[in-house]
Amino acid sequence: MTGFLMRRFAAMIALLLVISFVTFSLFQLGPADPASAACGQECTPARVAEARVALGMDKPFLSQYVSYMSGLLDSRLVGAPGAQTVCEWPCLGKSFQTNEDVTAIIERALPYTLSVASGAIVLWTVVGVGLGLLAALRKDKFTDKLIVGAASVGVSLPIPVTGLLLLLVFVSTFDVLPFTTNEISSPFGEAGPGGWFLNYLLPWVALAVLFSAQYIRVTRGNMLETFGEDFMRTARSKGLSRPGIVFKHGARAGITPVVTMLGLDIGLLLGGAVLTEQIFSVPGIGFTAVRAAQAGDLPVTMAITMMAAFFIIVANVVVDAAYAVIDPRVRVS
Amino acid sequence: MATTPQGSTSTPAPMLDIRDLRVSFPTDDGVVHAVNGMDLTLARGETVGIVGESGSGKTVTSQALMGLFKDTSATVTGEIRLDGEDLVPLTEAQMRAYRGKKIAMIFQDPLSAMHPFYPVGAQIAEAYRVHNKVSKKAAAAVAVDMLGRVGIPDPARRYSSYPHEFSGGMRQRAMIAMALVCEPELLIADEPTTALDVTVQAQILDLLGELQSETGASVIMVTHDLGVVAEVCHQVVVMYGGECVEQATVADIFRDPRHPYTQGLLASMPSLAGKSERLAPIPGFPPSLLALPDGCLFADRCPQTHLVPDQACTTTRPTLTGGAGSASHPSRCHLTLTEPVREVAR
Ligand SMILES: Nc1ncnc2c1ncn2[C@@H]1O[C@H](COP(=O)(O)OP(=O)(O)OP(=O)(O)O)[C@@H](O)[C@H]1O
Ligand SMILES: [Mg+2]
Repeated sequence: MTGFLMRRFAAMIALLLVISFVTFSLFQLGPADPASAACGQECTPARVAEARVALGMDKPFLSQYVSYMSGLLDSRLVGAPGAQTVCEWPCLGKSFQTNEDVTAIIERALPYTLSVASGAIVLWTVVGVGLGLLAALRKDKFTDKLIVGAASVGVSLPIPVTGLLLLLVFVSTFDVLPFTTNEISSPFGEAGPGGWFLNYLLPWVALAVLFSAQYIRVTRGNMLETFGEDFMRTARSKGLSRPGIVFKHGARAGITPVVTMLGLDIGLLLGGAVLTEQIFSVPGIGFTAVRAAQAGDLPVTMAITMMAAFFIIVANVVVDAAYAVIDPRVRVS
Repeated sequence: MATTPQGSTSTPAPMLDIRDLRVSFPTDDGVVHAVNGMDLTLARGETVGIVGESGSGKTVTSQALMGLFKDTSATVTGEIRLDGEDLVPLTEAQMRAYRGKKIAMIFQDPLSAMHPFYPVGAQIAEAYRVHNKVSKKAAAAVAVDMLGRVGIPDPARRYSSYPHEFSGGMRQRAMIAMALVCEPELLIADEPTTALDVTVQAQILDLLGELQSETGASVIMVTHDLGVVAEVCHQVVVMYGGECVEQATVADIFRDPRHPYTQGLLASMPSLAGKSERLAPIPGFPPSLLALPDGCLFADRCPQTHLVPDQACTTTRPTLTGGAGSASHPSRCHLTLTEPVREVAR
């Protein structure tokens, strides 16, 4: 098990290096010219060149990449020669737009994304798995048809549609919920858990509508498949009661693929719920990433891309480890 | 004289008495009549073999005995008298008290029949705890003991192995331990050795025989293999198209097969001495279970229909009756009423 995790960890580092290099190259090759953007309206070729030096973009590509990556190991100096400033470890560079440490920008944005993600994940897992299980147990009955019908509507509702609809109904028309505010980024702040809950309820619901629908389908499908397994017949032949059969024998096997899906979705969502954050104006990672990409702010975009990749890769490793815990057949000795 | 519809060996209260069992499944294509009048009598401590080709309803019959069609869309009618009590009208909840406790079942493929995520021993202990109010620890001790009884070496250690860590033979032993842990009075073994190689097959059959004589359980042995029947069974029931077409003692079925289908089965066995031969198919196909013919279900494959007057084979379904001759056993054929004709046919 330890060896398995070590191997996965090494592979993870290698993969992150590749992703960082590819992302870095794409920005270099891209059409955006941060130097001319940085030097503003009245720009002369001389001032562009100056800006280029200040941003460190006059150096060869490879040395730029190496100096950027060295910030992950130690603090480094950034800026034009003579006007250099220290970028503390872990240094992800400074924003081309605001000259702020990228690390600080991410630290500021992350709690918002965590707030959006955490509640949404809990909500859609409970609703999706619960209803999926219920539908499987009531197969072909009215309840099943209702749940499956709702799920097929749910999967076809994109987040912008659900989000705007929710805002229209609960905020504009009936005014029962507040519009999301920047001031609340965690349940431990001044607003308390209650304020945090109300503030993020709509984004959670918007995400949960889409994701629950997928989870309902996957859970129902897997449970039905499991119900047909021979070992379920064995469980019944022992004289077990229905809850024992369904939960101890059925759910244990049927839920495994859902665990995989959940792990990967969590990884994905931690890299920023781009659409949800846009619609509800939550200044999280996704929101910041969109702004930075539009402005050609290389260090910010680069850092967020790497971070999203990191979460996804970590999620993969966690899912593999979880699988080994759940299913003894995949355990490596 | 043996003119009663049931076997002549009947004791006052047979362990199991099945009368006119019928099981059908509604499907999109129509109603599948999987079992169409199954009769069987099994004395205490005896073993009855159920033989028949694929699709003849052996497994469906076994599952009906376990009550596994309760709470499903399947229809089950007739009588299944276990120790005199009819199981057919029982509800799922009532049936639960019998499953594992009075009737237990061993399945064909032990790998898929065990839960892949739980240790083998825990699955046996669970079966024990369903019907016995004991602590987990006590149940585990029973399971270890049971693993030892079915011949698994180092049972205390193997208790925590997972099914995939066992060999095929070991798994079937564990499956037997799981089925017998509550000492059921009736054990149904649905092709318990089909998935195993020949030497292991023999070991498993020996084990079943030993445990049966220890516990005095009655056994239903479902099999394709007439060699197995000859070896372990007292009685044999031949199934065709969901019907019992013949029931006899093992000696009688080999010496004096009465139904043309049984005769075909025996003829397709290369030699009775080379026991574990599989049944070679009789030409033709079993009847469609969606639309059963009015006449005998075997009529269109039967080489002897011309011997029966008035085309009775295609118009009238024969009943399971004893022959006109002396000391004969029941079979479901018009010919059995006219003894001399049958002699010609052999
Ligand atoms: N749940 C079901 N729904 C519809 N048809 C079924 C169902 N279960 C079994 N059948 C049908 O009933 C018939 C008898 O099946 P059964 O499994 O009892 O045969 P079998 O004698 O055990 O054959 P084998 O030797 O291949 O195991 C088959 O034609 C099968 O397709
Ligand atoms: Mg079968």
